[in-house]
Amino acid sequence: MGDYLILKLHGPMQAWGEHTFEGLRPSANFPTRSGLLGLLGACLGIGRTERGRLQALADNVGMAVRVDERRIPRKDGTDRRLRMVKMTDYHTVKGAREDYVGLKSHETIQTWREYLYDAEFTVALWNRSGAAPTLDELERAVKQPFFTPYLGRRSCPLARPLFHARISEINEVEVLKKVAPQGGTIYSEEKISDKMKRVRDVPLINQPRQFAGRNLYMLGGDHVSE
Amino acid sequence: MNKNFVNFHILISHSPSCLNRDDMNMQKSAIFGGKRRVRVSSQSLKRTMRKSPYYAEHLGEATVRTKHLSDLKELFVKALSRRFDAELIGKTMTLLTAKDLNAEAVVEGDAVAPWAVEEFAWFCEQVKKAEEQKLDEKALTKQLKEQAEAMRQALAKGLDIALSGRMATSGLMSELGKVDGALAVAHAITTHTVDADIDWFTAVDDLQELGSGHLDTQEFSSGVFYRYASLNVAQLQANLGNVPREKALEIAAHVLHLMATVVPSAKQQSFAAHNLADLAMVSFSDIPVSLANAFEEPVKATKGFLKPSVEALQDYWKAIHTGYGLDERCAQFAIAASTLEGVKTAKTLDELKAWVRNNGEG
Repeated sequence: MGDYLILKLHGPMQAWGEHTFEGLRPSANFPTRSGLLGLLGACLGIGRTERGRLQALADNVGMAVRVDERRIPRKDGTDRRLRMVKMTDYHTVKGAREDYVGLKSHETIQTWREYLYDAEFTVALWNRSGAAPTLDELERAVKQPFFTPYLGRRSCPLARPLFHARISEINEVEVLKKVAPQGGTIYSEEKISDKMKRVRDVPLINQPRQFAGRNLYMLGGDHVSE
Repeated sequence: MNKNFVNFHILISHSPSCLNRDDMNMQKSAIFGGKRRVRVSSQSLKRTMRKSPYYAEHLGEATVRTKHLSDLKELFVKALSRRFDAELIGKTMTLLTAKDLNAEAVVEGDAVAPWAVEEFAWFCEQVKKAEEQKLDEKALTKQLKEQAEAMRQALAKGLDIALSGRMATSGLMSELGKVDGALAVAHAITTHTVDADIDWFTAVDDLQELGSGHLDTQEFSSGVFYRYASLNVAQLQANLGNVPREKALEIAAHVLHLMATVVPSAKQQSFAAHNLADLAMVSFSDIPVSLANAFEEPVKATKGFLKPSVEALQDYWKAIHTGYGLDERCAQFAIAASTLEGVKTAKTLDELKAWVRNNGEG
């Protein structure tokens, strides 16, 4: 049996940035490892320069994310499926860099920032090693955050508290079965299936804005065949 | 008990307007609850707040956001000519930005960054002292790093850095001047679906007998918007050099005023949608939580959109407050008389501001 901390990421807009220096600032379709570590780090009050604490957090937290399939009830007793939508926001920035090798800058550039609308995620977290920070500390931090937590961008606030539950189960798949709504795709760092994809969102703490890859195993959902 | 987060929930109705546009000249929009809404971006709202007369009067001079460092130097020389000579100002800027500001050529910074006159004057003071003590640049840099708190106090005059944050890219500023903002402002969205109208218009040319000089279209709509922001009180105190909580709460009261009264200026010569908030609710809480989900099921016009929006907000507040057992202190001010159990009613916006200043007590 393992101990799991369950978080809910719910708000009208979310943005889980993929690495880019360009005008297009894409969002992944579900929270990235770097994004979630940033969120937890903010709650714990870890400063940007506290590399030791950032590394300890990164080393000790395992995660699985479920893309929740939402249905909202109608007054007549039926319900309708809510689908996640990705839309691009147009934004101008003065003095952005011309390319990623030099410091030469533009007068004004246009940027396109992707946001997820109507998205909702359930996240299961576990301790990998038993070192700090423990799940108890994480639970306290998400209930009473130090810095302001947000859903990937500062302008995307939470629409409900992050904390949902603490559950003991044999693995994250069984844990997520206990948390409504059922049916969405689970992306886990543990080998919960044979369907695997490679993503590049593991922050390299000593090389800011550089990312390593990891394997994600997928289970369930419309588009993942069993 | 001192709660760390102040949440601001605002409902504001706008008559026909186009307050925030995209690159196609259409209103910014959002999908929420599967339905189209009109949106005003957080960036637009924040700039409007920073540039408002109320801000200048109560929170001090807004920072100058620029990358035109030569022009900025001229501005500093003019503002500080009685206190420092031009050469010292140039030297200080060179230290802060790692660009030679005493050179003849026009100098530009790497990015648009906020600058506050009084904060800059504090740096000039330090450079002057270092010159008198004959400190070299390295010793001065070390000394400055040890005085971060005093520097933050100088920042109090350019409050929007403490509220909105600053990233600096070069020079001493990149080591000393990075600030994580204490205020998080959400994109404002309508509580209901919006089918926007397109206004087809012509500009009449007085010297032309037939036809018009110009034809174009403009998207516009009216709607009730939900605005949300949260203020991290401890972070604001730290950003201002560990000021007392009372000082941060004073600022929170002014943020409430701005959230309830300022409207972006875009297209206002054509639409004049200068409206004030219909409802402002404030809560002192352990966690910043938006009430936007009150409107995930879009509000239907029954007696207009405003009344059902207020009801939806209040029902949702009840559900989330009791459902999650939130330990909050809440108060509201509404134009139309409205009471809600567990939420203190303020008769005026000033009364609500006083309640904020008083730590959400009384």
